[in-house]
Amino acid sequence: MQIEYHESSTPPVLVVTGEIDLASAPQLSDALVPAVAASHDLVVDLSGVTFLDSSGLNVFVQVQQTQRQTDEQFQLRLVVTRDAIRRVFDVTGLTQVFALYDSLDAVGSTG
Amino acid sequence: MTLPARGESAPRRGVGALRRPGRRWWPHTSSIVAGALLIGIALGASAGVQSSIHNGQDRALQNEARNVRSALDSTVSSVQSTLIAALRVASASSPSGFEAIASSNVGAHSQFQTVTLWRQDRTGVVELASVGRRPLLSAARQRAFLNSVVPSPRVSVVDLLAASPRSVGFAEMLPGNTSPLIAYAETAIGSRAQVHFDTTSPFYGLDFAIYLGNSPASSTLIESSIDLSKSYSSRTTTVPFGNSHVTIVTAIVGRPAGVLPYSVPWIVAIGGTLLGLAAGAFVDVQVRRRRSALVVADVSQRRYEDQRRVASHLQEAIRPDPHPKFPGLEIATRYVPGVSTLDVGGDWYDVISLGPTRVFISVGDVSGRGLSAATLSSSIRSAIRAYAVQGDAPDEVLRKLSALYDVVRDGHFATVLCVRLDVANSCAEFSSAGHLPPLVVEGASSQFLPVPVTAPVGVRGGPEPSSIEVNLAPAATIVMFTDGLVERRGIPLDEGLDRLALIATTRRGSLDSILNYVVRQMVERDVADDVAIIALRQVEHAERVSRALRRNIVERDSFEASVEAIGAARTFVKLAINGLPAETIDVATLLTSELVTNAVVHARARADVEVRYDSGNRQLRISVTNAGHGTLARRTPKAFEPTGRGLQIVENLAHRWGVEAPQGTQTTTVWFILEVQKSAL
Repeated sequence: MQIEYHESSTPPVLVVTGEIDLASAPQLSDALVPAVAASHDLVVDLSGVTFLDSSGLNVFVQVQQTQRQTDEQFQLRLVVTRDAIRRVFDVTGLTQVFALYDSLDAVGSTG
Repeated sequence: MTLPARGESAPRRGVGALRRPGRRWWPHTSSIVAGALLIGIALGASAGVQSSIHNGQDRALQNEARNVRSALDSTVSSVQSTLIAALRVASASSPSGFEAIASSNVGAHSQFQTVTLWRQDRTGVVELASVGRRPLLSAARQRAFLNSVVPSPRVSVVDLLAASPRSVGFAEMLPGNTSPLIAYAETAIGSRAQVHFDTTSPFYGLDFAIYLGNSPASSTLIESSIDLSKSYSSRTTTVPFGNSHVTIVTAIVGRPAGVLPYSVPWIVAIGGTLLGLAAGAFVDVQVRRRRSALVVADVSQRRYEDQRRVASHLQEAIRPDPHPKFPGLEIATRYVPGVSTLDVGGDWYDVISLGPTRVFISVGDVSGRGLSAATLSSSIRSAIRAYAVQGDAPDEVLRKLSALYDVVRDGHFATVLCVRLDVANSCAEFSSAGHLPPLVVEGASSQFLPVPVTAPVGVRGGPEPSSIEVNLAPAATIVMFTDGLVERRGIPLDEGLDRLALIATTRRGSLDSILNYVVRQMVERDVADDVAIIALRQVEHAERVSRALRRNIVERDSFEASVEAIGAARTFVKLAINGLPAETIDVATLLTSELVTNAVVHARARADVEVRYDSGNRQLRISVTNAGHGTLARRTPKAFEPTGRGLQIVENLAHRWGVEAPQGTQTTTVWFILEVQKSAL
């Protein structure tokens, strides 16, 4: 798994590529926690993620839950393009919990 | 207007309507109406001006009479007051006082030429005093006149017009006395000198004549500015003058206020009539022009529609076959017409069979739009077909095309991508004339083939066309497209290409479903440019799936209790069931990942993974066994609970799943079963 953080783009984007499982989840968490703390507008681009299981979901849930202690309306913004990845959100009922987008452009158009 | 019938005769008939022989000379109704209306207005205005001039004349005459009358009135009252004053002095004192007053009013340039004082008694009148020359009144008329004088608010007037100088006599008597005094005065009215106004004066032509008595007669004329020998419009007014009357004749001789006002009615009438005729003619011309324009517009509208119809027929004709077929190839296509104009575009793709195992495919885009672009597109396609069937390689086809077309002559150029595919040997030759490269997708990776590019067809110069030969992986998908798919205003082309490369790898399944996704993601609604896409893949991939489905699988492996084991287990499963439908592979690896994760986290022990596929009932069973008795709770975590989703995923995606912990073995096995759908190919 690789992570690129485009801190100065508007909104800031965390681009994740590769496979997210228990092995890579800590690395994801380490990158995501400060990035979200820096900006609630952060967009996590998962379009390059080829595998995601519950370990990755747990990171997203935990980060969102932590931020909601200070910002009740906070929703993590995730760009999910692949069927295999979206399926994981679908079957765990998290599609509505996070703000999921079909593309980076879609994030821009909905603010 | 009757619309001529469709077809080629339409324009001729339309032009015929322009001529309309026989009725040409007759003015249009609206022009007659317009002309008549303006003439009517002009004549009305003329009459109005005339009437206004007459009214003005009449008012001028009245004013003049009023002026003359007021002048006379003031003369009379002046005479009367002088005489009364003299009488009062005379009756109060003596004739000497009378003489003193009278003399101040008598002289060559004074009010009177003579003033005399008389006493009236039963026998007649006796002169008491006299100032100035002897009265002109003869002795006989003197007695008669003075005897007739009575006390009256009106001074008595006697006509001395026959005398020389022409004069008028006035007599006044104070009321009350038994032997009253009479004052008599004569005033000369001079010659018949006429007053003339200069022709430029606004009063030029306003004249009058004053006659003593009730009617105008030359013998009673007092004063006149009129040349009596001429005839003119006049107004006669009789007004009191002492105890007599004066007749005032006011006349307009010549034209007051100049000549222009009298010309105005004629100017208005003649000018208006001319204007009316001109307006009628103008309206007539306009009506004819409008008719002609309507006919011309109608003709050009029909020509435009003809062209549109031809264009749309042509578009139907040249629009590529949506379902091209070739044995051994899965082919999917899309053609999305742009909405920028109603004009037909020049995008195409074409599948040309060169035999049982070889196929030639061209994709192209003619610059510009419209009938000429569509025609050129059709022509180039035909040429490619001819060369390809002859056996020419893609670069040779492009070389010959560039000799056939010329942008200067044709007004368009074309980008063309050609590929000749040998299905039997899984190899392909590509050559490009200014066209975007083909995308080759293999599983989760994709790349644009570095096809050598020469100048577009129709553009001279640049390198000679050359080709690249590539060996295709069995499951590789080739996507060829026109630039409308990746070009967006304001977005660099590279970004569009990168996006396509990513999106094309996102979905698995049939090419049709992949293109659905690509078009949905890449082609915006109301895209301006046309988009043509053709994707092809060797059927062998599908056949491999079919073969895999017919084969039983039993594979086992064992993994250390570490986080790295999770990824390794996924890879093992993926390889073991390679060939099964993509969705099955995705779900199987996901569930395996969850189960191995559980084993690593909770049991901290080795995990044995077993993969079994039964082609008979098309069921895939994967089990994960680890040492030790774990307890697995099936439960649904709350939305914000950070753990416990692994088994929720298994629960929802597995056809069936279960836990086995045989007594005495100290092991726990978690298994799941997926049913492989053939439709998931």
